[in-house]
Amino acid sequence: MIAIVSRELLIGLRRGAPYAVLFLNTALLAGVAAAVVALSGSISPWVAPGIGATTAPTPDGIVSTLVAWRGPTLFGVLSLYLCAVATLYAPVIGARSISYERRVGSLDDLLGSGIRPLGIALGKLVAATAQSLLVLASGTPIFALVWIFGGVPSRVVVLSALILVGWTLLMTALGLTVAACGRGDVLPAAFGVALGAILLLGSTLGFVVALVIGRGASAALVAMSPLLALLLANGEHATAIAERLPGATLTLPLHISWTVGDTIWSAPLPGVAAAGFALLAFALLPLAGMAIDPYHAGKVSHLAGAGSRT
Amino acid sequence: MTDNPIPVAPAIETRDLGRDYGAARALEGINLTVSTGEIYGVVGANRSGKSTLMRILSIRERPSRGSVFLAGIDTYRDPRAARRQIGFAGPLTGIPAFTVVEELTVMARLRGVSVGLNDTIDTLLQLVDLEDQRHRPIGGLSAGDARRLSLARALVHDPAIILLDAPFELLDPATRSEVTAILRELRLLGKTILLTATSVAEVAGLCDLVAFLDRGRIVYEDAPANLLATSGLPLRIVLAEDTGRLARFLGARPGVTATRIVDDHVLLIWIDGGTAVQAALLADLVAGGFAILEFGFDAGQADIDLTRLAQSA
Repeated sequence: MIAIVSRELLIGLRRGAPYAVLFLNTALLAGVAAAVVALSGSISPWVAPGIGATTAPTPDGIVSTLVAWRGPTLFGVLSLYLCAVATLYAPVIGARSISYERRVGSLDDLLGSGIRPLGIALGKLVAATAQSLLVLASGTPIFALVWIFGGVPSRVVVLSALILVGWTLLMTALGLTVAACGRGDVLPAAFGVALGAILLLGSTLGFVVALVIGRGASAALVAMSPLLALLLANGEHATAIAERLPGATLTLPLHISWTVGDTIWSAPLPGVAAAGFALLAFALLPLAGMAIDPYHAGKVSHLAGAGSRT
Repeated sequence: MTDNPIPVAPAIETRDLGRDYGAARALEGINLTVSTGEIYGVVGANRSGKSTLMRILSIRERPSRGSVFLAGIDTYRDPRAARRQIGFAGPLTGIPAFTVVEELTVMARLRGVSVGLNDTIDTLLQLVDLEDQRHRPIGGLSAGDARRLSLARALVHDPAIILLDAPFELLDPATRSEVTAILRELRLLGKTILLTATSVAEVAGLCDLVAFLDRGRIVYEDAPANLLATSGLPLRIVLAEDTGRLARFLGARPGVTATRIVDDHVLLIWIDGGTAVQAALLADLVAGGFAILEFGFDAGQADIDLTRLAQSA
């Protein structure tokens, strides 16, 4: 698999597109950083605590709460932005890793090399995910502002990073699988992005609808939505905002617990979501492997035995 | 000790192989047996099914019917093991941005070659005469160099079976001779080679057996010399002396059906019979003291005559 990963990285990093996306991402985030710096200078010190403070002086409105928790708020906004970038970019990279090879005819060479098709799919997933994460990592410098504002525990940073990695893996696997099952160059990438967007927005919208119609906050939908998982990664921040929503008496599903024998196990729901995204990504791989393998057992079962040697 | 020989599976064996594309039958009833160490040629016109056959033998495409065994391995049961036995060289495919040496390195690593990798690549580049192109992107290679690289890539893991799809296509005569020499060298190393060509002329002096593929069916299989002898092609004899004495000598000889003097030194003759008659004739010419520079079938006309052969078959 290492041979596949290094080959994929060699191909991917020779293209111009990743560098263009890196530049765009960096430029956009530099603009956001400039805007935040300009805005923070105009915030009233009455609602804005000192630099480095982690609590706010009893804000009562939603806006003043966001300002008071400006470190976590900016962290959340940036995380959501990176999640959107992953949703748009990772399926394209995943799909291209198959469709480009098909176009230049080198997918046959890979299959002919004797590596298992599942191994090819896995190598491509790892390499394409690494390329997408490189683009996400280009946004890291702007998190210096969050660090200056303070209020984001390292546990939240780790949890959010895991969610982003898991979601990027899933989006890459989605693009890769769609391209493996379909044909063409642009269409599989577009289809992968559309599926990712539907999953992202559909689960978030479903959560909101469930709240509005009084069904409560659904833990299942949080586990399906990277947006909600990222928001709930900082439970205190999410609760503070939820408490200031008009007419909300909301209990957020921050943890999930289950019983095994006499022991009760508990895990942070955003962490479960991250693991779920990653597991789903790897679960898609056999489908991609089967799609690119002309000699998959399921495809030759009707031929096996025909004209066998005697 | 036992006197019974251990049965050795043919290097390549197909049984009732067929491939359909929708209603169109690209291959039908292909039964091939290629022994280990043999060079086997599949000759046919364009769209006769040669490339489809090669794609199936190289386990890149699934047949619609029949089965393929490579070194005794059923390709349906264990395609990975079968793939390890073969090296395939066709029209060069690959990442255009890779350099020649990168392409070979990547392919070698994919094939699990790690020990002595650099030496292997140097040897291969030397073998196919691409040393001076090693840092050139493969997208910028000439057609001939692309063929050479494709051949090198097929050999990178030292396979037992080498499949070559149209190895002489787009090659100039000098490069053809070089590739032919490489293939002869590989045979000496015990490799089994199956190649395709559009004319017998390309493979006549190289292959042990030649099959003629016509519209997806093998219509003829024999040694190239027999194939040429029965195809109605004339023998071309080039002499260091004037052709007059030879024409008189041949006129009285049984088995020679017609002669035609091309110029002062070149004569075409048509014979009735196979390679035995041909060999006897050559022996008589040598005994008769003729200064022979060339003696062989005028294979340049092979395509036309093979089409006729296919029609009669």
